[in-house]
Parts: sequence; C-alpha cells; structure tokens
Amino acid sequence: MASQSRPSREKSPPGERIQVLLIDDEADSLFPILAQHLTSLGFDLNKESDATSALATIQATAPQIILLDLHFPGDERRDDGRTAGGELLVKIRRQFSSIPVVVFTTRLDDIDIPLETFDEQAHGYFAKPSFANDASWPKRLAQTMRDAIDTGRFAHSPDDDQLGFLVGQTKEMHEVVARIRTAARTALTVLIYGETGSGKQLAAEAIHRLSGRTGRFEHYNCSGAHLETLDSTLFGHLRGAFTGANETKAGLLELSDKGTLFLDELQDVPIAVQNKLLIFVETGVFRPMGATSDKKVDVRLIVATNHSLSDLVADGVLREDLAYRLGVSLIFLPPLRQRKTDLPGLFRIFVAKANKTANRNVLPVLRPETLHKLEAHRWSGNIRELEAAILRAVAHTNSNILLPEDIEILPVARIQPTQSQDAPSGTALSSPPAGVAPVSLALTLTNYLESLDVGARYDFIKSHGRDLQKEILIEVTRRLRERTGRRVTHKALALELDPLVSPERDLNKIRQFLFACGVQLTQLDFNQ
Amino acid sequence: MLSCDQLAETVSAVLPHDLARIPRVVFCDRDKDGLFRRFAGLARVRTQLQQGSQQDGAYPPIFVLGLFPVTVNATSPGEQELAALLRWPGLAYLSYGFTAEQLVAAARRIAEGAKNPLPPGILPTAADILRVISEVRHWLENRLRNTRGALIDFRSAVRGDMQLHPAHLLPVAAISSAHRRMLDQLWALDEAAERFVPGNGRIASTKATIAEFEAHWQVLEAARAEIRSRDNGESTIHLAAAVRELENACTALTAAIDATNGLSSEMAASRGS
Repeated sequence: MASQSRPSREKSPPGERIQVLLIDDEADSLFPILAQHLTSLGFDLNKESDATSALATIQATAPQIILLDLHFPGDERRDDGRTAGGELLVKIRRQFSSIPVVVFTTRLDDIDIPLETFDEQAHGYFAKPSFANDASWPKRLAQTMRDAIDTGRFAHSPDDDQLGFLVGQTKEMHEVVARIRTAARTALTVLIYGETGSGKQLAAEAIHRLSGRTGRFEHYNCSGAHLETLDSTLFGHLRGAFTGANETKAGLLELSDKGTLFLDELQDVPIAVQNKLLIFVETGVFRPMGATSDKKVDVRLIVATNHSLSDLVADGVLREDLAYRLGVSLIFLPPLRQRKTDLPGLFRIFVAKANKTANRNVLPVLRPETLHKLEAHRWSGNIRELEAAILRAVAHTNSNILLPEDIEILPVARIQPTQSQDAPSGTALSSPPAGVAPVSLALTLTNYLESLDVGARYDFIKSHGRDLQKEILIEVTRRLRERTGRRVTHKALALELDPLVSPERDLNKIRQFLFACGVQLTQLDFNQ
Repeated sequence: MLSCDQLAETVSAVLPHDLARIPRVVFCDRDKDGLFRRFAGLARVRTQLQQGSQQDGAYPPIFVLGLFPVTVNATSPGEQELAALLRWPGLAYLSYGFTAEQLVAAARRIAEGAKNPLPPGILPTAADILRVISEVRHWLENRLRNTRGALIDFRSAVRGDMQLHPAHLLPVAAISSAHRRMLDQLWALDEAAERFVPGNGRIASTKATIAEFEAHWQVLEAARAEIRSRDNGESTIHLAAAVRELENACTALTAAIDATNGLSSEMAASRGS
C-alpha cells in the first residue's frame, strides 16, 4: 500500500494557488474530501466549523475565497427565519469586502435568499454534490470559485477608472458583469448593445482584460468609414494594392493577433467588408488587399451597435448570415436613465476620478438635493455625459462638496424618443431587441432527457429524482434570470423539497412552472 | 449598554440567599446580539422554555425587563403565545424603575410560580418540533453525504487508484459539541412529540441509530489512528477496516434519517388531522 501521507497530485495548473477557507458546521468531515479533489486543481484549503469564530479565522488566514455553508446548529432555535450563515455572509461582505464568497449549500431556498443590496450577496452559489455518481463536481466547484473571484474583482474595482462604470446595484448591471465574465472565458464573438455613452468600449476592454489574451486590444469606430479605408484598416494592404498604397501596412486584425478587436458602430460597416468579415469570423483567415494568399490570426472579435440586428438585416444594412455569427454572445448595456439607483455609486467614482484629473480635493459626498438634481435629468448621453458633468462641477466648484448649482447640464444631448420615457423608437434600443432572445429555455434542460429512450429515462429519473428536481429548478431559474434579468425565487414558486411534501405534488408544481416557461416534461415520473 | 449577564449579576446581588432559584434575566425587546427587536427576548424565552424543564421538573423563573409597560396583542396570531407566556406565574415582567423590594417580592413570586406547568400555548407545537427535526435531518443528510464522499475516497485508496490526502487521516469527531446540543434539544422533545403521535418512538429510534453511528465512528477513528502510525505499505488492513466502518456509519445515518422522516410524516399527518 502506498504511503498515506502524500496525496496524489496531478500537475497543478499554471499560476498561483488559490487559498480557500471552508466555513461549514461539518467542515471536519467535508474538508478531507474537498482537499483530496481540489488540491490538484490549484486550491489550498483551510477550514472553520464555528460561525461565531469565523471572522477571526478569516482575519488570520486571509483567504482568497470563502466557501460558506448557511446553516449551523442553533438555527432551529431561531424564530426570525434567518440563519447563522446568512448573518455571517453579511458580516463577511461588510468587513472583508474584497474576499469573494461562494455559498455552498444543499438547500434550494438558500440560492434565493432575499438580500437588500448587492454588497450583501454572495459572489456565487454551489449546491453541495452528492459525491456518489458525480465525478464532475470538483471541476464545477473550481470553476464556480474562479468565477466568483472574477466577480469579486469587478465588484471591487471602484478605483479602477476603466471598470468603475460597472459598479451598480441594479439587476441589469449584475447581469452585465456576469455576461462580461462569461464572455471573457470563451473565444466567442461578442455583440454589445448600448446607447451612446453607455460604456460599450469599456465593456469590450473589460472582456479583453479578463480573458487573459496576450495580444493587443484594438478599437475602431466604423462610423462613416469608406469602403476602401475600412477594408485596408481592418485587413491591411500590400504596397501598390491601390493608388497611394506606398507601403505594405498591417491591418487591425493582424495587429490584434492573440488579442481582441473591437468594432464599434457595426451598422456602418459596408456590405463588401461584411463579406470579408464573415469569412474571418467563420474561418479565422482573411486576405489583405492586394495579397494572393490568406493570413490566419487568433483574434477575438467584439462588435457593438445601438441598433437591432433584426432591423439592420431587414433594412439590408447587415448580412443575415453575419448577424447570426455575431449574435453568439450578447451583452446589453442599460442606459443610465434605467439605472438611476446607481447614480450615488457612479457619482463617487467620477468625483474621485475628476479630483485626479483637475487636481482638486472635492469630497465624494452626495447631498440629497444634489442627488435629486442628478435623478431629475434624463442623461441621454449616459455615463459619458454624467462623467463630464461631474468633471466640470469638480473643476469649477468653490466648495469642497458638490451642490446642485455646481452640476451644470449642457443642452447638447441628442433629442430622444418621446413616445415613452424608456421605449425605443425606430431602431434605437432601450431594451434588448425583440427576436434576439439568445437562449431557448427548453434547450439543454430537456434535450438530454429527451435523448434517452423511455426505459433509460425512467431509470435515470428513478435514480436521480430528487437531485434532478433540484437541478431542474436551479437550471430553470438560472435561465429565467438570464433571459429576463428577473430573479425568480423558489419560495415564490412555493416549491418545498422537504420530504413532507410528496414527490407527486412537487412534480406537478414543477410541471406547471416549466410549462409556463415553455418547457414540457410530460413524460417524466419522479416517483421513487 | 448593560448586558443581560451584568443585569443578572445585579439582580442576584439584591436577592436574598434563601431564594432557591435565581431567576433568569432577559431583556424583552433585544435580540441575541443586543439589538432592538420588539419582543425578541420574550420570544427567546418561549423557545428556551419549550426545550424542556429542568431535572427536577420545574422551569427556571424568569424576569423580563423592558422600558415600558408591556402590551401584547392577544388577538394577533403572532403574539397569542407571548401573551400566554406573560400570564405564566413563573415569569415577571418589570419595567425599569422598580425598587429592590419590588424585585425581591417578584423573585419570590416567580420562584413559586415556576413550579406550575407551562400554559398550553407555550408547549412546543408540532411546527416547533418539525423545525428541530428538519434541522437535525439536514445535519444528518450533510453528514451522510460527507461520509459517503469519504467512503468513495477510501475505497479508491484500497483499490490503489488514489493516494489519500493527509486530511483524510486526521481525526474527526463523530458529533461536534454544537451538533450534540442540537440533538439534546431533539431528545428533550420526546415527551412533546408523544402528545402528537403517541407511541411513535421515532425520537428514541433516532437516538439509538445515532448511538450506533457513534460506535462505528469510534472504530473508524481507531483504524485511522493505526493508519497514521504506520509506514508505507502496512496499512491495507486498517484501510479496509476504515472502509467497513464508513459503510456501517452510512447505514446508521441512513436509518437515522429514515426515522426523522417517519417522525416528520406522522407529525405532519397528526397536524393535518
């Protein structure tokens, strides 16, 4: 028998190891299993089984991420419906705001704990695995923790001028952050929707920065570009390719090899260039003007527009096949008028930034009357307009606190649609365009089950009935949240997975709910 | 802010020594963190009383202190039980400004009053019992999950597929002190559960299976200690013993979960009938 003192370790992934603190009332019995399987994935673990001494342990061990159970002994004596872990989560987020927390739980309703502010939410949730018949849990948990660390980086970069615009308490901004993070992990083409000034370029830069791509980030605004200019700019040209081409010049695609190319104002790309762009998106190769052979590069393409793809296709402005290729990963940046609750946070960031620029020392204090003035404005120019207004105010104020009269609204904003405060007019977008719903709710959830024959499906459900119910609910709520931006609570669905509730009753509720979501599970039987 | 402990000391300092039972002192409207929440302290008293009487069958006398004369809305569903509790002679509500004489008189009164049975509204309800069972079951399920996880790793080690992480060889308590307190609370509800499902015996059977689990865990720890103390290549037998005891522990935990499930179902049925 081999030695028990040395764990078997696969080669650790490159990069630094991640220090994890497990806080769980059963930490002693859980720790060895996590240590066994996460050590080889680049994680080092510590543990704490007492919620009351956890804060001191965090202070002492300075973990990079916390795995937190929400239920501790003594919860049964509480009459306020709260849990020791839930309270601890809030304290951790307040006292150690830079440490991301993943809630590690077995209870579905933990995932929907109603918390008032983003500052009190976890950075991720992970259902404790059953261990048996589930070999994938270590990788899934590792990914969840890495995601949470990414989320933490976003949420705690208020001093970072480039990422500051992402700070927000609205669901929409949480969604934006989540989507940027997801997009960063893939090499997929990304399409960013957003009005002028809503931060499309910043979002693209954030994706590039988080992706870890080693090449350059190149940005080009296609607005008003002529065909030849754009062709040459994107794909490059050889000497003599056209009149005035005195030298061979590399295009942006070549310059951003192993990096990211961000093309803004997609609607202004001429059809001829779109043809070449489509070939590049499909194959990764392009041909510079005047060249006789193709070049292959590894470039992530991000495009942005504030027009509906379907409208652009209908108007003949955008090739339909290219639209499909570009619409793989979508990010919608909400206009500032739809996230006015974020004004205080943005105000503080922009005051700090303006202080540096204007060499001033204005306090980032937002008086109610100043907030009122900010809230009353429509901000058609979005965060760009807000930032400029605050910079002007900081530069010119005679006070150390900005007063309403310091905030000068310039009458230069474009005339906005008037039918409705937030309704889109023509092709301008104020909400995700219809027909671009990126995710079919029924897709992965039912495909697997439907791919099984009746016998196999029955066996699968018989073996995994209860876990399956949970997985289905988690999946459905995740997808609903993804599609609608709305957080759906399991409590709201009155779904209790307590053994007291019969599986049939659960099943009927799930069926009804899934049916309402467009998913049919009529052939399933959860009876065990 | 004066803590309950400080106040209890002050109260006991003025009470005569002949008082057999020193009353428990709580603030009416403070939660366990000392923050204001209407009736939070009173509600906690109720929960504590529900956990059972002391060894001699009497309950602890209780002083509840508050800023103002207490008014509980007895018609409000959430406050009916609190109103019943305030009427129990083992409890006295005092608003600040009382004299030492009043305190001593009240202490004598509640020391006698605490010998009275709790009013029906204060006894654990089926929902109270179900809540405790649910927490215990949650813990058992967690422990079963982790024990199965350890079993999978140990089996892999026995097959030679994997070397165990050193953490697997460290001792783990069968039941932590916090979990033992939770279990004690469930055991204390045995009598109360009988009111709803006479002759059920599920709590006793849960207790028995958990004792079985502890016994297997002890053997497991002995095997673990042997493995720790041996060099390479000499621990196969003890690893196999550990696997066996982990299997036994899983069986006992499963039986305990089944017992709590049975009790929950019967309690729920009795509540519905």
